[in-house]
Formats: sequence, structure tokens, C-alpha cells
Amino acid sequence: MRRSRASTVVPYVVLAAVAAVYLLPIWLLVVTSLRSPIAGVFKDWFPFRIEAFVPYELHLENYLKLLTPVADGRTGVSPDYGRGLVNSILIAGTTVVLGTLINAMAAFAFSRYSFPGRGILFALVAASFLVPFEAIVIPLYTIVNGLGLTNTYFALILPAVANGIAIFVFRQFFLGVPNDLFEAALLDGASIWQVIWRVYLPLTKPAFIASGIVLFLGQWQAYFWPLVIVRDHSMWTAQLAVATISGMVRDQPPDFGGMFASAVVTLVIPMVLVLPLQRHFQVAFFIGGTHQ
Amino acid sequence: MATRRLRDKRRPAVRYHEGSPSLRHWWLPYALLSPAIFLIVVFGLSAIVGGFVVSLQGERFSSGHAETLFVGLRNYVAVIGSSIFAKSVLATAEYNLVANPLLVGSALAIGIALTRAGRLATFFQSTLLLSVCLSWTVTLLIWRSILSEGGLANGILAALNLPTQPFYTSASQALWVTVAISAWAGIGFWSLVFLGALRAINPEVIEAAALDGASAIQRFRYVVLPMMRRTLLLASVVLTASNATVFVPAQLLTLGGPDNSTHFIMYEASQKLFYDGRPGEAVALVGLLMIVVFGLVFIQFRIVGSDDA
Repeated sequence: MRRSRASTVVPYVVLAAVAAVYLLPIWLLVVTSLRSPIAGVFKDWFPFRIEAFVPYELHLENYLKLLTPVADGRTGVSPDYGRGLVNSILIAGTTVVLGTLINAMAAFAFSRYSFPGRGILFALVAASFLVPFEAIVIPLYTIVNGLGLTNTYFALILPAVANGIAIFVFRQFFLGVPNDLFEAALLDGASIWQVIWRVYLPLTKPAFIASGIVLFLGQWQAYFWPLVIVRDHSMWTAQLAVATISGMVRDQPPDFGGMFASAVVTLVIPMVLVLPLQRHFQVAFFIGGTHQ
Repeated sequence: MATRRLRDKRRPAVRYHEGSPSLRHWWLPYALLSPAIFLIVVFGLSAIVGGFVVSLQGERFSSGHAETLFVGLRNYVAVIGSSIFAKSVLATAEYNLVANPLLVGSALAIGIALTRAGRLATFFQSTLLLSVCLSWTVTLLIWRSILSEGGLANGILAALNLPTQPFYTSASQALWVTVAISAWAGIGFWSLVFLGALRAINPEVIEAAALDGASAIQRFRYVVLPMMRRTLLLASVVLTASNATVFVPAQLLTLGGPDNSTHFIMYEASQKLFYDGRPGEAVALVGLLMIVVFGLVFIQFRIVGSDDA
């Protein structure tokens, strides 16, 4: 196919603009987090100077403050960020471990067996995938409250473990594994668990990575549910801590230096996990998941 | 699908796919499914059912303690009759009518651009993947600072001798600011989804259409779009459901204002629950919203799925 010059150049112009729209604010976030909290993190913003985007000073005070909690929320970062970070890692990590296991088991049953009730159970999973979690937060709150589980790890972890998207991704991949392999391994005397471990797991690694990332990001970014279910600072998540430090919730005066530093940490942790797995993730979710 | 009957006298109805592993135990699939189904029933289904029950209940205070009683559809009537209802429906509708087409259109355009980016595609894909890591809190605090009265955006406008803008503090701009911010947060993910779908299309099909004399627009309209039907349906359904329940921007950026211009339905529901102490009305409001969402999802499936193989 012959292409005009415009049709070759336009995609690059569009993509460069898109990259700038994403990278500039994130870069600004990082640069601003390294400003001196005493001179003011918003230096050069208004009146604007291009230096706003230049990291000409590297103050780490905003980050150090996150490590050394100050009891008074007025003078520094509230004491919750470190605790929030630990809680978020615990919650997201547990969800990933439990979730990949449980959803893979469910998807395996759906992709390999026919049994009475299969249709109804599959419809139940599909429905859980279609109803947005935000919509059930309020009734779920009354249930979890009734069970006496408010302000516990159970309440923060369990509702997110079974995940329709993860089940679909796993099912898609399991359907792609040739049955002959399974049969051959079983005939060779392997147990069903050995077959799952030795045959399925290596062949469907992208599904595990993609589901793990979906579960991790879902929990890491959760805001509404923790806001509703968490009662005190001991159970706070990183997102709630960031929102509090920013002065966006609970009537606390904002600490701008701490806000940018905690936002950078909260953003960098999933990035460190997702970017190295980029290849697998895209194969699984964006091609494997949508290509029928 | 070809199935074989399992030789198990206890449960002769259990069958398994052709060539699937020998099923010695009829209960195996149920055992595999039970943890996921248990969690979905406890934290999903029961919340939906429980929510419906709560929406039919009210409280009466008598001799010092609250008493729960059945009030029929009174919560629904109260919700629809409240003065804020029309405002919140309008804000939610405006948000969805602009945000969803904007997201799908931009993401599709970026997806197409990515298929033509050659070696640089990997770099741009990584950039978009970065945006997938952004949470609502981080997204909103970035844009809240940039768009504040003395923020970077107004700094740049002032430096260019342009009038500064109120952005999210003005009733006429706040809604569009939340739309733009949510588009910024969501476009990256959907561009990558569309890119996956575009790459799954066999290029020979498109080349054949080109050889038959189809213009670029015709190739897109009659070849590419129909082949992306499933993915577009997925995006449309997921965005309908997730953007109908938009809540966090109102909670963290605008507090439903100014002048209720961003007083979305879910924001109103959370206000009813946590500030007014009316869980019945809060759940009734969410229930009404869900009926509309399911209606829209059903219509989308009918339109797109009717000729689906």
C-alpha cells in the first residue's frame, strides 16, 4: 500500500502529543516532590517560569517526612503514610495470591468440565463482572457492618478476591491449551495436580501475570471501599493516606510537599511491578483477552 | 460441542468436554469453583439482594430506639421526589454522554496511530501503560494542583497574557474538568485494548479491500470497525457501567459543586448514607441507577450482538 507523507507523519505527531500529555504532568509531580518544602513546592508555577519543569534542586525532605511521622497533622505529614503503604502492600499482595489461585481454579472448572449448574454459575460470574463494584459498596457496607468486619483486613481483602475479569482471562488461556497434552500426561501416570503444575502453569504464565496485575492494581487503586470501611488510621491504605495528606478528605489541612512525595511513592510501586511485565501483560490482556 | 458421557454411576449427568481430563470425581469441578462462587455470593450477590431489601425498609424512632420497618416503595418515591434528584441525573447524564464517546474515540485514534508507529510503538505503549498505574487519588491531586486558582495552568495562561480560568471552581467548567480528567486517566488503558484488537485483525483482509479500491475511510468503516465489534462492545459496556457510577472526582475535587454541577448520582447516594443517615434512600437511588445501566447494557448488546457469530 502506498501512503502519502501526511499519513506517515500524523501518527507520530498524535502519539508525541499524547505522550507529552501523560509524561509532563507525571514529570511535574516528580520534580515538585523534590522541591524544598520551606521555599515552597509550587515555586515557578504562578507566575510561571519554565524552571517549574526543571529539577534544579534535589530536596529529599518531603520524602524523609514520610518516614518520620509527625503526630500533629498541621505541621507535617500525618502519621499514616507508612502505615498506609504497609497495609496496601499487605492487602494487594494477599489479594494477588488468593485471587490468582481461586480464579484460576474456577476458570479451570469452566474451561474443562461440563456439569449440572455450569450455565447458572457462569452467569453468576458474568453478572459479578457487569455490576460495577461502586454500585454495591453501600449495601455491602451494611452487610460487612452487620458481620462486625468493619475496619479489618478481611473487609478490605475478601470482596476483591473473586474477580470476573481474572476468571475470563484464565478461561481464555486454558481453552487454548490442547487437550491432547493433558491426556498424554495423564496416560503417562501424572496426577491431575502434577499436570496443572507442569503443563498448564508454564503454558499459561501470561494469564497468571495479567490476572495478578489486574488484582494488584484493583486493590492498590481502591478508594471508595476503603474510605467507607476503614474506621481508624491503623487500617488506612496508601490511597487514603495520600488523600488525607492532600487535604482532600477529612478536613485536614494539606501538606503539599508530603502530598507530592507520597503520590510519587504510591505511583512508582505499581509502575515498578507492571512495566517489567509489560510484554506478558499485553499479550494476555490486550490480545489474549480480546481476540476470540 | 461433542461431549462424552462419564462412566460414573453416581452422577451420570456429569459430562466433560471431548478429550478433557478423566473425571474420576464428579465433585471436582464444584470443589474448584466453590471458593470463587462462595466469595461472589457473599460479597456480590448478597449485597445486591440485601441492598434491595434495605431499599424497602425505613426506620421509625419509638421510645428512644430505632425500629426497622417495611415501607414498600416509599424510599424510591422520596428519592425521585427530592429536589436534588433532577440535578444529579443531569450531571451524571452529561458526564456520561461526553466522557464515553470522548474516551472511545480518542482511544481508537491512538490505537490506530500506534499500529503505524513502527519501532517507536513500544515507547508509546510504555507511556500509556504508565497511565494504567495512576489511581484516582494521584490523578486528582495532580490536576487539582495544576488547575487551581494559582496553579500551573493559570500560570501558563497568565504568562501568555490570556485570561486565567476558574476551572473546577466554576459551575460552568467543573463538570467538563472532571470529564477531561477522567478521560486523561482512562484513555491509556483503552488505547492499549484497542491496539490489541487492531493487531489481531489479519492485515491481508485490509490489503484486499485496498486492492478492491476501498478508500482509507471505507476500509476503516467497512472492514476494521466490524472486526472490532466485540472489543468496542466490551469498552462501551464497561464504560457505561463504570462511568454511570462516577463518584471519586466529586468526592475529592468538587464536593459535588459548584452549584451542584457535579453532584453525581453516586455522590448523592453517599451523602444520603453518610450524612443524612438514610441507607434505604441511598440504596434505592443506586438501584434506580443500576436499572438504567442494565437497560443501556442490554440495548448495546442487542445493537452490536444481534449479528454476532
